[in-house]
Amino acid sequence: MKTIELKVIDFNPKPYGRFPKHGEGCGENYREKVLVPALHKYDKVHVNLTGYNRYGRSFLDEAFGGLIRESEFTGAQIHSKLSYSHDLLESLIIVIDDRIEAAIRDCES
Amino acid sequence: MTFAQLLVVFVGWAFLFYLNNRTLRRSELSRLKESLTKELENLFDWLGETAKEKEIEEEDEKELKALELEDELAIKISLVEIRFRQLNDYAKFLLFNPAVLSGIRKIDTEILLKGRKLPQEIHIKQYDILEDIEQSYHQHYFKKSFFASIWLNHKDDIAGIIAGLSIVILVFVVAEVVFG
Repeated sequence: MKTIELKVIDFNPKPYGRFPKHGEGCGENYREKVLVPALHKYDKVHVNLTGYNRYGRSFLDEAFGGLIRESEFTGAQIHSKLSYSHDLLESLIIVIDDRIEAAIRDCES
Repeated sequence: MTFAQLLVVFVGWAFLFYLNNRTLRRSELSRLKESLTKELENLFDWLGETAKEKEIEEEDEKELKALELEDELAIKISLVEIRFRQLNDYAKFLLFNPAVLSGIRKIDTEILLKGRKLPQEIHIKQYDILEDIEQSYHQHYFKKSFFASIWLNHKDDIAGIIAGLSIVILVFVVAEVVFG
């Protein structure tokens, strides 16, 4: 089984915003340039968010919820292939769970 | 000094140490809890004030202002969450579940700026969090039986006392065997 751990700060030291007009380190860029290729290439992808504590809701929604809304992954695929963690901020993980579930609900309705 | 006398002195000291330590820890914890609770209240006040103050006329401006607010909010929540985490480590029990802060992280700042006031659900969230903290504190210090509370707060100290006592007993037994 091929697995990979991705550190978000390797993508950008200060991830911010939703779309490229908000900056290079936006959620859409992270999703399209890092997450989607990794999810296609590996069986399991673990995103380590440690190292930065200012993730906004927009970045998280676009990067993770966008996988279902924009990049055509299913909820089952995301649940089985993707995991994420932050060593200090547990509430961030709950926000990501929430954004993924909201995207699943949006696509179902 | 006989072994029995030594044992009484040792147990007396251990009990005094326990009482002193417990009082100090509880008062320090109470002080830290109050200051962090205040910080959390300030965060909600700031959020309400900021939502009121930010006047937005153009659509593009709205998006940028919402992102700015989201960024500031994320910093403030993270600071509070890290400090509460440290407080939990100090308390050695779950005084505050950091997961409840996700409710504030989930706030859509664009909607917040449109409404220009904190929605009722966020006020409710605020009181839920504060109530949760007070309840855990109360539950831990006032609701448990005396012995359960001692065990939960001082597992390591008790293990140390038992180990120390065992060594003292062992030394005495060996001394009696060797020197008669």
